[in-house]
Amino acid sequence: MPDNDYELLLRCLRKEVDAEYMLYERYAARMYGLCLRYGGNEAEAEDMLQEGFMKLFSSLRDFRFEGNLDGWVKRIFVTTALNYRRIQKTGPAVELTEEVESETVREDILSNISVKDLLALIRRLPPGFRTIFNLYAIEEYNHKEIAEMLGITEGTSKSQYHRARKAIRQMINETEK
Amino acid sequence: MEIKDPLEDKFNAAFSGFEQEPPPGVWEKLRGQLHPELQRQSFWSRIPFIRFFRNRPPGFHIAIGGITLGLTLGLIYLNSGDHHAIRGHAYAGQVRLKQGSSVLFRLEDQTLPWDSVNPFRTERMDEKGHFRFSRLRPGRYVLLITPDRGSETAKRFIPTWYDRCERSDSCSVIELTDQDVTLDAILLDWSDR
Repeated sequence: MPDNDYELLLRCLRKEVDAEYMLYERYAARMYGLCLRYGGNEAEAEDMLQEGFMKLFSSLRDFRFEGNLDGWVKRIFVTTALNYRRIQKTGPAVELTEEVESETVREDILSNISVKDLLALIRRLPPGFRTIFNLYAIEEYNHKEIAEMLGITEGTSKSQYHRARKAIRQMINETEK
Repeated sequence: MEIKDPLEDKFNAAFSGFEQEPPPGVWEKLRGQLHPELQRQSFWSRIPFIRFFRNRPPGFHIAIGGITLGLTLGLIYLNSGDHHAIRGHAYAGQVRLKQGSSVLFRLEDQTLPWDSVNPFRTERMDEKGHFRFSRLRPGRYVLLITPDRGSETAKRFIPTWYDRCERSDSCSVIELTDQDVTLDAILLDWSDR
């Protein structure tokens, strides 16, 4: 861990406002981008960001200084986003086991989609699908980890993910028609 | 671990370094939650004047309060009622008196012998032989002009009450009412005695 990170965290632990602001500035844009993927709209994303930073500052004393700060911060925000969804009672609720049919998207179409459009697609997903899609496709957790994080079965995680992926494909294809 | 398809790769690549600036005001809200004490003080702490006075010892506040009260009362006094001036020039013969003083006496009680009253105010002559008593309350005054002791003027002229009187009991009384009084005071020569 770089010395200046170490110093910055120590100053944050001493509740120095300018150090807290520096830490905020360092992660705000990245974490707001993450929150936008988990939130249904900007207001929810802002709430998540606020809660995430509160959790981050209150958990600093638990950080083991030999670890990766970026990864640790990201985990805090992912956990905050998941908890936010649980509190809002919009998390995955239905056990889905049926086989999901596949649908494909042409690569040329896929390559022309902007990040903004991809974000819009994610946010059109129902909250449960959105959460699992984010965790699996972007955060790269496996279904076992997702199942533990969300308190669901691995099968539910898989089936929700497949349905989310199918929904996204359908949305892309509908847009292209 | 499932094999990822192009869709997943696309999302993964697009969002791996995705950043967006949060809306303005998030940090302020966060700071308010992290430091409620700053939030409470935020309005007043922005005023440098207030910051200067904060955390000073009680004696400091008492002293500042006393000075402020004094200045306020002084200003009230200076600005209240009618105040006027007695001013003019003093002459030693045909020359303006530059080395000397003018002493003003206020007659509070007409029954007192004038020699027994205390000087009310003393002013030095300026380089043009001018004297001025400002911000006087209306009333009755007598004026004494004295050349500086040891000066050349003092060798020829004596302290003189206005108007050209050697003794106070025979001098003129200056009645100050609702306007300034301007006068010329002329010193008596030793030979005038």
